[in-house]
Amino acid sequence: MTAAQFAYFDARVSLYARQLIGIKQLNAFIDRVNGDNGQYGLQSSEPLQYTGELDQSNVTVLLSELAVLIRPLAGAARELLGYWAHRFELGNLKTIIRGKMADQPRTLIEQQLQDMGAFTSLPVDELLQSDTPAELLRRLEQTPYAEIASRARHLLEQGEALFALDAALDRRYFAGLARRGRSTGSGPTHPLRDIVGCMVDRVNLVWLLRYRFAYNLSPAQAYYLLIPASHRLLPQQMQQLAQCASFEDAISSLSNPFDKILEGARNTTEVTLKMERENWRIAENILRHSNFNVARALAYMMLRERDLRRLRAVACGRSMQMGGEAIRSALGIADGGREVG
Amino acid sequence: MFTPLTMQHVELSLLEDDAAQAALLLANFGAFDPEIGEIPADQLPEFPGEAYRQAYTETRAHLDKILAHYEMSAPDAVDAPMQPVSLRQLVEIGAWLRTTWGKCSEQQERMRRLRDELRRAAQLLRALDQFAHVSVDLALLQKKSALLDIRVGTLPRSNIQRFEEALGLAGYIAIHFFTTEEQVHMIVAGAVGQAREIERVLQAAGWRTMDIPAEFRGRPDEVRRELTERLARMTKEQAGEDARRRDEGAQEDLHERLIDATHVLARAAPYAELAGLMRGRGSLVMVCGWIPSSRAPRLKDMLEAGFGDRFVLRARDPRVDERLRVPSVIWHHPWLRPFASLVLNYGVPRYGEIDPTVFFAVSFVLMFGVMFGDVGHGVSLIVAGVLLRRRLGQYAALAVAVGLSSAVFGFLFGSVFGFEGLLPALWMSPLSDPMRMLGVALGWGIGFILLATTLTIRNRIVDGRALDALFDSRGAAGLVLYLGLLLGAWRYAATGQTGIAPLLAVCAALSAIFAHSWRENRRVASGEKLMIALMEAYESIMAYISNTLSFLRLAAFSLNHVALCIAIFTVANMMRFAGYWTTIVIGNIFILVLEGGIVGIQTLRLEYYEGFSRFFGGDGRPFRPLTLRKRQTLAFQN
Repeated sequence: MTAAQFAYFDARVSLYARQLIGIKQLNAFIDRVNGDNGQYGLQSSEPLQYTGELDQSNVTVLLSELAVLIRPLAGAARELLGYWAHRFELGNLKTIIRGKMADQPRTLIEQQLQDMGAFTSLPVDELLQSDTPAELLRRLEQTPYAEIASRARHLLEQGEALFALDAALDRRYFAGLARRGRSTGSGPTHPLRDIVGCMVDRVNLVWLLRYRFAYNLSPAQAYYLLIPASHRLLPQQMQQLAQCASFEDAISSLSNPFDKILEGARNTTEVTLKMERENWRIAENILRHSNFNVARALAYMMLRERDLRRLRAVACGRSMQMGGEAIRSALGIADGGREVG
Repeated sequence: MFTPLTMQHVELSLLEDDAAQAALLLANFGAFDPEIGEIPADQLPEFPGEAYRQAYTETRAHLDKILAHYEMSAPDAVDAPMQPVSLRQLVEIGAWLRTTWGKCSEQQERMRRLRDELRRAAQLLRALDQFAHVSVDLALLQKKSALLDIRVGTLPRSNIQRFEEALGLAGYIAIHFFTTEEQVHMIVAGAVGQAREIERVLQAAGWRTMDIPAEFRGRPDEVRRELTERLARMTKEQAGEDARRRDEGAQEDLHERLIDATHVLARAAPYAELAGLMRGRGSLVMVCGWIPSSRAPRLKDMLEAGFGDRFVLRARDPRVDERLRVPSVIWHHPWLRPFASLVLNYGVPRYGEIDPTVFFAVSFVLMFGVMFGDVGHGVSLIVAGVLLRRRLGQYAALAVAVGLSSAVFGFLFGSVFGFEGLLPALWMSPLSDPMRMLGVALGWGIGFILLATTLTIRNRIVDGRALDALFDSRGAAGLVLYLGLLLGAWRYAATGQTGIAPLLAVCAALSAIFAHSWRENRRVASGEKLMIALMEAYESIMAYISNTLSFLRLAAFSLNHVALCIAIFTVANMMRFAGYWTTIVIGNIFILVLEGGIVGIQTLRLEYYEGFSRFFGGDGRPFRPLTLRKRQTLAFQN
């Protein structure tokens, strides 16, 4: 990556980064009684039901900005950013499989799908036209998700719960992201390795704790279901964590830097929040202190997604007549405009 | 010919009972492009055809899947094109198709299982190759024994001897059964009591345990026989399933019923498609769309013949604010189709915008001819266009046209396959006076840019952008700037002085461009606005100069053509008779293919970049009329 090659790209990322929302702005937004939601890309004026997920307008905003950022890129960098967008498509695939397994009508499944626009690679119409799960998997075999189709068939024939299929899909996605991150980021200190690696560590740690102490899976099964990649959380550490007898043991046996990051975490939800916050911190660092690399775009997309989720949460809180303090508490933001753990 | 056909917006209101028939009538009419109506949703809140649309979508999906399963294709023509299809009919057909598809789907699943099993059996056969020299029952190697510890695995070839000696110390024996360049596959056996002792030896030697598939029961030759028989049986089963599928597809009653269903669904398609755009209340429905003005009387006649007075048709001209929504319909002679297709490749003319096809065709052919002027090469292109007309399709006409142009310029330049003495040049050989060629190219470029700028002004006026038409760098101000620059340059070349008039013209034009840019960016901060306006004025001067110079490639390529011919003749002259003619033939083929291609691309580049990017928006909406077949984009209708 050279400065000349990525000058336009870098300028674009910097321009977009201006619209990221700082804690002060977020506080001001929470306190505004009749705020202008549209300013931040939040278009809906209907009462909202917050589910913790992005809605279609948020996904459209993210994908349209990603499309602009991706335009001047080529090769592995372009593929990496495009691959990042496929997480929404993966959600669509899960929705379709779940819907077909539950014999839901087509229109109901369609309502839950996100429009991926130019990033679509899944033949959604064809998949929705299938009458049975078997037909769905046969059709899926004709797509880039062919490997998933055979895995899904195997899991379903073994009578495994849909959770196993979801886990397989997610594992495949994050393994692909880690692989691309490794091949695109050159040099061990490349920021791309940091940002993708931290994402992978977060997912691995949260999954591990959830599988072991919420789903009560055996250490071996929980470890096997993790992403076959790691950054700061090494495989040996994950094996040790998997063998811990309780959640508290696992947290207390964490080594640096995770012991500090997760200090005081009482459950998996808190671990998720704290790890997400650590990811955002790294993303902000990369955005501020590095130049001319694709990691900045990835960092921006992560932070933009965070903002959109937060704005949606604030709007939902308002529609549910929640007070400013209650919304702040739900978002983990203290009075002084500082994030609390 | 130079602008899209005049269109009218129509609103058709009628009874819901007549909606299916009306959709069919509009599809048969073939020139109605539907769109979402303008009536507020609270006035017409219902979507009367929604159930119909859903039934059609599901039924169509099943039919398509069945046709693909039996490898059948839908007929081109539609039976009884004016006979509407009721929802009940659609549901009945849908139920039958769903059942039929259920059977097909089961068959596909059986085929899929067979394919998977075949693949697995083939993999097992390949894996069995490793055990070809083992003469024991492979099941024994998988069995755990209380007395005997048997292991199967691979080792690197190096240090095998020492490994076997070490095994011997522990009372184990090793049997090699397969060897590759790097690895030795072996069976290691000994008393169970010594198992722990050899673990470390195996680990140190780099032992990798091999998994023996559970299917390997018996001696390798027996397993092979069994697997081969299984493969043959499954291949036969697969062929049987395939034959059954073909037989079913060939059954007359099924075939006929499927074809009937195809006709019925083709007739149901227009209403299903309109249903998404049709709004209603009670027994009243309304649909809106666009038709060419010239076809309005015909539509009215058809509706009167079909529904008597049970309809209301309102038609009006497009409003200024909806110009971008109006679809563009353009008529062209079939000879212009390949050029129209290249124009469409850039974009669809906006409604009211100049359609550049004719200008494009003329200038493309002329510029190609100038750059590739040779009678022999031109005739070769014509012959290729005629002989390959089936393969080239509509582009055969393009090949003939550019070939003709090349031949005409070949006569002017006096060149036949590079031979310059065979025909007298009606004008001159490009290489005899390169400066004159450059002058002609420059003159052509100036004319081209002046025409393009004039068309831009016209298009902007039609679009209601009068200020842009007057003061933009590509509008009248730009035109004055360009003329001022040209006049100044001409005077300077002739007298050594530019004179006051060109300077005044350039200054006035630049002031107008600057002021326009300033006004356009009124919301931007002052410093930034000043920078933008200055840059825009500067860029407009540079763009006009560089765009004009860009046309020098016309002369450059005509000189290049001659130079290439000279190079070929120089090489040919070094050889004797056979070598001479071989070089001439191969050289000319090289020129035709490679240089011809490059010239084609350069011509297209001049058209798109220097021409279209100036005056042609290309963001029009293509005309997609409702038809009995699949709706297609008909931007250029004959």
